[in-house]
Amino acid sequence: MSNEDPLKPFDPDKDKVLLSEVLDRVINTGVTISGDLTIGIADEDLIYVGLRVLLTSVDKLREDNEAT
Amino acid sequence: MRQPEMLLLYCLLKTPAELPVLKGLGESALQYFSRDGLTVAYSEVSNIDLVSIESTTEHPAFQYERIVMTLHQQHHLIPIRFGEKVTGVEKIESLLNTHAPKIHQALNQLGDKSELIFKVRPTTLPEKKLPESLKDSKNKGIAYLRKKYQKHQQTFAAEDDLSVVEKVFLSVFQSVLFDHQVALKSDSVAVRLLVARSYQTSESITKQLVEQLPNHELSFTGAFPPYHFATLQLGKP
Repeated sequence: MSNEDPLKPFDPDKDKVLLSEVLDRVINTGVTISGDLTIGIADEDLIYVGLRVLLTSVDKLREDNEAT
Repeated sequence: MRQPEMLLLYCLLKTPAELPVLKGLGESALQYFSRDGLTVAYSEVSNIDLVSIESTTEHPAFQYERIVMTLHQQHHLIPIRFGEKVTGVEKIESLLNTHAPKIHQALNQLGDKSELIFKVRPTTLPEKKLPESLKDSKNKGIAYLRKKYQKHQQTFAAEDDLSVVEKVFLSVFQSVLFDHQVALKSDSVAVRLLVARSYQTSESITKQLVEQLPNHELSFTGAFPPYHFATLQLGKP
């Protein structure tokens, strides 16, 4: 096992937590409000999903790059 | 034209007796909207750059995760994907009105659960003899292909491991497991376990994993809110 106490979860304040690991968890998973990556045009009923269009996990970016 | 206020959604909760006073992203107050036993945690982010990566310690994703984990320590919740925003509280109200039964069901299934994430990487890769056609060390093209082949061998080693690793974890955690996922990463297997929020790992678990997975490196992170198991799609409110 790689840690001293193998099953002790590492403390993000003490250990380096890669941004990519956090992003892999919080932007690839969880409840979604709108399924499609559509960006509405300025309107009172606008729902923004633009963040996910711009921000994706490092692994997904890597996969996309390797596929092209 | 007045710009609509942008509200970032954090998680769905079973409405508790008392809602904690916390700060949301950018030091704005974390707010709550409750209806019929369900609560959505949100904060106003109209003037906050959610994509900024100037400093990893200040990245909004870290702040967001910390807030959801703080809530998860005390309350039944399911996390919302980072970046989901709505324009105005009336949208949150509409969300709850439209999807209450599905949200209740998801909270009943997942609200009191956590996910544990293990990464298992083989330390001893099986020796594969290079095909004859890849042994020419002078040809640059062949050298390139050889590197690609060797990289794929590492991936295949992890692929070979996939079912073995899955069986070991199912065996070791069988009495506490509600659900699980295994995923092949570039050179390792990621195992995600859905367990009760109160579950604590132990030395005997460590010992069993090490004994049953010799020649492997194991790392563990968690417990997290059940991100990978919260697959609910609510659609546009």
